[in-house]
Amino acid sequence: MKTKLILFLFFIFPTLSYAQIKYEKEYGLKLEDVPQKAIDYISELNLDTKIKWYKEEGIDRSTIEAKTKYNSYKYSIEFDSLGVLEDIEMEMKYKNIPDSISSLVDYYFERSFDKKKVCKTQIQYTGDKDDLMTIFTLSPNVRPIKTVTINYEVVAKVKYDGEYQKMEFLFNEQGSMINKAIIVEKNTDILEY
Amino acid sequence: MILLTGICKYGFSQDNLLLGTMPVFNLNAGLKNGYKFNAKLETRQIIFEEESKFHQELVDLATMVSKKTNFNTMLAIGGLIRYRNEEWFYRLIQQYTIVQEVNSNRLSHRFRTDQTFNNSRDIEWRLRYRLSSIFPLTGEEVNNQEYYFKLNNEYVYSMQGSSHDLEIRIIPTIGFRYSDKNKLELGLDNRFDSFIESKLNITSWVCINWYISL
Repeated sequence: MKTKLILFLFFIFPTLSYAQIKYEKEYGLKLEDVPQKAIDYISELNLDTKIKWYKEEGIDRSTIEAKTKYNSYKYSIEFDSLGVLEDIEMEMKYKNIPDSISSLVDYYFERSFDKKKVCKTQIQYTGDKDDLMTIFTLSPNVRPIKTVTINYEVVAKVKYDGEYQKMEFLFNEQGSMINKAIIVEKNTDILEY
Repeated sequence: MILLTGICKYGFSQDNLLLGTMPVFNLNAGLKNGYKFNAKLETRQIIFEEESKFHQELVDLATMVSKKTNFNTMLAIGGLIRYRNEEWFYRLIQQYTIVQEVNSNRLSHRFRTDQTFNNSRDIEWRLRYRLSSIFPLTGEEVNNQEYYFKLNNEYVYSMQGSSHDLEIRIIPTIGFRYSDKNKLELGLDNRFDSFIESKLNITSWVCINWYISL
């Protein structure tokens, strides 16, 4: 009975559950300001593409990001402030999320919000740094080895109870929402008046 | 405000040379149920214009209430009271804005209609379209404590009695985002009017805008 009640509340009030607040400031980094560990990892990948370095400052932590375009896909390789690899993200189209997962993701949005508009979708790979290197040798449609965890990051504008909000959601490979954050949008008053 | 009113507006036209001030104070506040409130105070003081000396040209006070109608669109209505040459003018304003995100930056399309009333004149009807874009001067997007460049291009078609006119405005501006709630801009407001019924009139102004959000 208790489990049923929890499930009931989960489905009825999904949007009321806890969501972090995400405020990010991103700016370009010179190569000399990038941790050597991160530079070494990118060198090992042998991508032979142009790499742009960024620092992303959040509310309580900052990360280093290497962005590049490889085989027509946009990649973002994220490190912590010391240069330890955190994850690799690849931009993709929302419609290209595998059907078995996207049906659950769609269902989540349908039951949680009145409206949604997807702004950006990324596939996120986490795991051992050597295992993550194999991503670049495989076609994006091929799943890397099992030790690599796959999640889908969806940034969407949602409408709930008459309010519009930009949010970031993380779904796992089973289609369950595992994390969400409200993105603090910048004020647009200087464009309106 | 002392700082703002001390900034000079400089302008010229085919017939006149203008020197003056045009500070604009813009106040924004969130209301309940997704509504927003905007108040704008604008004054123009002519410092020099041919033979006339310093005088207050006009004082405008406008207030608007807006609400998001979709993810990127906003509808606003409001009014303006203007005091100019010892006369009062009253204006009703309707506004529809689309704000787009382009590569982390913003672009807006603003459609506006307004009607101006005065006891001794016909009603003036205006139809306006403004395209605005913001470009960061450092980094990928405009963050706090950073400068940005803003470009406004507006087309204003007006009708009053049997006359009508088109005015084109091009306003390049340099802004400083002190915080999300506090921005200061300095720009050049170029206005090209009398396209249709008489000789072209060109006016350029140095303007300053201060945006505060509560």
